[in-house]
Amino acid sequence: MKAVECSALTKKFAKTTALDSLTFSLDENKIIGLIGRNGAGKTTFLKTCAGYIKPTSGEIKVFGEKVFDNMNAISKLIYIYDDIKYNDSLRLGDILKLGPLYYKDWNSDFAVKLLKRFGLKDHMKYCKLSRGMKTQFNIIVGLCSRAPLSLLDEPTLGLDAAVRKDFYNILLNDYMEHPRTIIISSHLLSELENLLEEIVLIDNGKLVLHKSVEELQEYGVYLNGRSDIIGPFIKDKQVLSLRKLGNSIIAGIKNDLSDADRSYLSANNVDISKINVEDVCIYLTRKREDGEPYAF
Amino acid sequence: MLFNENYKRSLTAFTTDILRGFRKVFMVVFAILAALPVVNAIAIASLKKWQPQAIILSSNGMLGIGFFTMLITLSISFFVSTSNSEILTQFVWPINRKVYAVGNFLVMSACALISVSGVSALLPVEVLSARILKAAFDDLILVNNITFENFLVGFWISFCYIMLFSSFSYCLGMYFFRHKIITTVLLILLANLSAVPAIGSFYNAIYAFIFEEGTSIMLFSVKVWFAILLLHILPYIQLRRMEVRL
Repeated sequence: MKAVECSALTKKFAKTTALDSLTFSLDENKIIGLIGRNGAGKTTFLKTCAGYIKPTSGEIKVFGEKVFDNMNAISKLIYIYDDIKYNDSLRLGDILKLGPLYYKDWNSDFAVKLLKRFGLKDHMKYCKLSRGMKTQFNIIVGLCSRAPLSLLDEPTLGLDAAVRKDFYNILLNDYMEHPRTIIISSHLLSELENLLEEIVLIDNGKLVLHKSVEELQEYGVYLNGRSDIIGPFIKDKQVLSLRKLGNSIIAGIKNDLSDADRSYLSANNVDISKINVEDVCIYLTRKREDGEPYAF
Repeated sequence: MLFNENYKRSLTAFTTDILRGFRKVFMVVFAILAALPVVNAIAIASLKKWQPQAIILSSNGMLGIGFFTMLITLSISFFVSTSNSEILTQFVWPINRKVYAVGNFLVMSACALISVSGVSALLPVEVLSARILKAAFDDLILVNNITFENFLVGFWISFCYIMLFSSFSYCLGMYFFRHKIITTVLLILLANLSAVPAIGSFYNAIYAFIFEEGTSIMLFSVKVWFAILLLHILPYIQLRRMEVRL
C-alpha cells in the first residue's frame, strides 16, 4: 500500500496557488526528503497531508484513505512543525502522558530516554522553553509516537550542529528498529542526504522530480576543462550550471554521457566529477529572470 | 462510525486532555467558594459585637453564589476555547472535527456536573458554620429551607442552566472567532431589534416558551436540552469545513 498518494493535488489561497496539480505517490517504510526553496509549497503539502487543510481540487490519500477529517487516516500520522502550540498550562511530563492516550504505538520508555538525552526535565513548561529546546521536545514527540506516517517540517530548526547530528543518529536507529514512513522537509539537504532514501523536489507548488537519492547522486556531472573543448560539447546537453574561469569552464550537465563522450572528454583532459544532490536541487529550481529554469 | 477504535481512543484522550486543563480552574474556584462560608461566619461573629440585634442567616447562600460563579466561569472558558489559538492546541493531536464537537459536548456535561456537585458538596460546610454560629449566638435566626426533593430539582435545573449558557457561549465563540465582524454586527442588530415591538414580543414568546410555559420539570428539561443540542449542532456546521491554520 502507498503511504501517500496525490492526484492532481491543488491548493489555492485567494490568488496564490500553493500546490499546483501535484501527482505522485510515496511508498511505505521509507525516509523521504521534501525539498524546495522558500515558498515552494512544502509546508502546505505537509499540512494537506496531515488533514489540517482541505485541497482546493484533486485529492490526497494517506494509506489509501482521504485524509481531511478522516479519523482513520489522521490516527496513523503525526505532523511535527516548529511552531507547535500545546496548552500553556502543560508541562513536558503532562504532554508525554497524553501521547499514549492518542497514539496506540506510543513508546513511553523511549520518551523518558530521549528526554534525558536532550537534557529536558518533566516539570519544565513547554511554553517557557527556548526555540531549540522546543524543537528537541517536538522531535521526542514525533519519534515516540511511532506513527506509521511521520511528517517532520523543518525538524532541526534552531538546533546546533551537534544536536542535529544526534537527532539524525537517533532517527536512523529508531527507523531501523521500527520502520515507518518519514517525510522530512528541510533546507539542510547536505546533512540529510545520507539519511534519505527518496527525494521529492517541488518548486512553485509543482513537482520538479521524485527520485531515489542514488538516482539523484548520478543525476548530474561537472565538466572542468578548456572552454574551446567544453563549449561545443555541451551545446546539445541539458546544462544545469555554468561558470567561466579565464580559458576554463566548469559546466554542470545532466549525466547522460555515453562511453564515447567520456573517452572524448578524457582524451581532452576534461575532469568529470559528480554534482552533489544539494546542488542538483538548487540548479533545478533556480530561476532566470524570464522565469524559466536555469539552463545555459 | 463514531465507535471504531480510532474514534474511541481519540475521544477518550481528547476529553481527558481538556478535563485535565479544567482541573486548575475547578481547584481555584472551589477553594474560593469553600473559603466563603468560613469568611462569612467570621464576618457575622465580628458583626455581632457591634450589632446586638438578631441576624437572619440563610444556610443556602452558597448554592446561589456557587451556581452563578460556575455559570460565568464555564461560559467564559468555553467561549475562549473556540479561539483559533486554542483550537490549534487541540489539533496538534490526532483528532478530527467530529471528535472535537462530541468531545466538547462531553467535557461540557462533565464540567457542569462537577460544578453543580462541587458546589453542592460545599453546602455542608455552610450549614456547619451556620450551626456553630447559632450555637454561639442565641439570637441568630437560621433559615434552612432545603429538603431532599427541592435539592434534587435545584441540582437538575442548575445543571441544565449551566449546560445551556456554556453551550450558547461555545456556539457564539465558534462563529465569533471565525467571522468577528459579521457576528458582532448580527448580535448588535438582534439586540437592537428587540426595541421593535413585534420582534420584542417574539423574543419574549421564545423566552416564555422555554423557561415559563408549563410547570413540569420534564417539559422544561426537554425544551432546554433541545436548545442545548441545537447550540452544539450549529457550531459543528461551522467546524465541519474549518481548516486548521498555523
